[in-house]
Amino acid sequence: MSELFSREEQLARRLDQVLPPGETSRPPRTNDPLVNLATQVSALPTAELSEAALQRMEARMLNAFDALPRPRGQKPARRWAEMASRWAIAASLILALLTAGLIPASASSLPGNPLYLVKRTLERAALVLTTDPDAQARLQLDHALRRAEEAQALQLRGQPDDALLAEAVQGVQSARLSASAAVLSSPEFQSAQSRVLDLVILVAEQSDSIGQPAADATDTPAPTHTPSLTATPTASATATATVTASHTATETATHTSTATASQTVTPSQTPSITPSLTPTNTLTLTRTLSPTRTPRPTRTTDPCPGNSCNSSGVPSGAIDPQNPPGQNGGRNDCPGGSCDAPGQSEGSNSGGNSGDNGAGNGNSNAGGSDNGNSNTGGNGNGGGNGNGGGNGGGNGNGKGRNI
Amino acid sequence: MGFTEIIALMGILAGAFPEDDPASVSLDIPHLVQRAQAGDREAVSILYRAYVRRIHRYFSTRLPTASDAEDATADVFVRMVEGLPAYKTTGAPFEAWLYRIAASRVSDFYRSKSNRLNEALQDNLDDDTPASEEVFIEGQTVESLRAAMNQLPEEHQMVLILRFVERNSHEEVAALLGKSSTAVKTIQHRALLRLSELMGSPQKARHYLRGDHE
Repeated sequence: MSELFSREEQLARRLDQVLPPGETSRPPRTNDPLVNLATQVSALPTAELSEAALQRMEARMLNAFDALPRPRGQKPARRWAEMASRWAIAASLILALLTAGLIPASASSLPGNPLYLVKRTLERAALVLTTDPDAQARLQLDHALRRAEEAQALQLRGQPDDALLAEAVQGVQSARLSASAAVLSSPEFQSAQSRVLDLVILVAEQSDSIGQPAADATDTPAPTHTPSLTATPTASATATATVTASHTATETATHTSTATASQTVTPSQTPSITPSLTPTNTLTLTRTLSPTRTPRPTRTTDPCPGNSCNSSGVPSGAIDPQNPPGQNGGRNDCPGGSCDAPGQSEGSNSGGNSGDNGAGNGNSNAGGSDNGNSNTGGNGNGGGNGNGGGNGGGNGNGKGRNI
Repeated sequence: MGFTEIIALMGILAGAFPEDDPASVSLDIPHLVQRAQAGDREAVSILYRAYVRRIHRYFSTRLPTASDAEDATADVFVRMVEGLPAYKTTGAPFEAWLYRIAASRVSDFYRSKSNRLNEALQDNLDDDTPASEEVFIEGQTVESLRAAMNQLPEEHQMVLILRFVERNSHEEVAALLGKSSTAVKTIQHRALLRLSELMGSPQKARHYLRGDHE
């Protein structure tokens, strides 16, 4: 039978008999030299490992393991990537919340504040993270509004910053470039846009009225403040240029009565205001207001010269204790707060603007006619104008963003 | 760390499994390897405990001193952790890879000490001590057997150790070496024949060492 198998197979069988796999017993001696040799090999002495030796070797191995860059390096890299993406998501979430209106600490920071850098960085990051052009446009508008608000806040502190106004205007332009036609024509976009521009105009006029009297008391009366000049005075030459142009174009066409109320300029103000019209104004489009607005030619004139519109009874020309000149938050239609109810003076102008945009402004026109009313009828301000109170009087900071 | 692995590790540590055969403690080796590759220190330790005695036995049959064997064993596991990230799980048992590392470690050892070793061998063989069973237990004969084994091709040595020191079946050795069991039986046959020649005929062994291959 053994002849049926090869010599290798026969040896394998003999070995399996004598040295069965899995057993450690010492096999008996055989007459088979090859099997005996295999037995000798199996009897080769092997040193037993002591527990100490085991631990020594293990420690050496684990040291090498800990020192390895690879297994440890790769995984952390993956983890880092995960962390990074999570951070990106978190960051964009935060930014989304920011842009959604939740205001973290940095949101109210102003240039010069350490948090301001954070704010601007977050804004830039939000822009970078946003790929949708329309969303970008909204962000840009939002940021432009912040610039305008910052400019206003700084101005109220006596530190006017024209660069911020210029940034606001540029932001509006950027937004218009980013936005699609549908978004451009959407009421939301337009109202947001006019909110920014109104504020820019407001601040620009203010800075003129505030900054100049102190500096140049003898400033020339505002010749530019012609009726047609609904164009807003510019805070800075460059910034305002664009602003005003647009303003004028649209103003004439679509201005609502309420708007006019707030934007009426008192003659007394003219000296400080130096509006400049820019022919090249690209913003005419942007400035288009809601169709419901009535044309308003009289925009620049002050229907209530003197104190006529001063519902509060403060003598015209008298300085309203509530409304120190330097803090007049709005366009100073009623210098000295003459046309404002006490406590609301600061918001007078902003109130008007807000009226444009619809929030609680209606009262400003309580007096009646679309434009003149503003002054005569105890215009927006006098009538417990929500905006005026909200912004100027209420806050005391005259923050003019009245919506 | 899975429950079964915890039990297995406890068993190993408590000495409940005197043999370090992974099969006897039913370790999930592929899973442990994956975890070790992912940087799991514990998995590395379990793998070490599962194989360290086998690898050490391999070295103690092939290297002259106990400290050489310990040193080489530690080296194998250092190389294991270094090579784990690049290790690709195949059908072959994990220990096949460890044995390959061990074999190359032995080669390194003898390459670096070849001159000294040859001299030592020469001296041993010059003694012309009969390789009888009676004197086999004496250190010198053991050294002769080791020296003769070292002259076999690497693959032959591996088969002899896996078959007779580790007492693996032909099939198990075939799996470890990635060969058919018929091939293993053939290698086993040749290796024993060759070893017999080397052991039984010092003259032949000397010629072999000098490079006079028959």
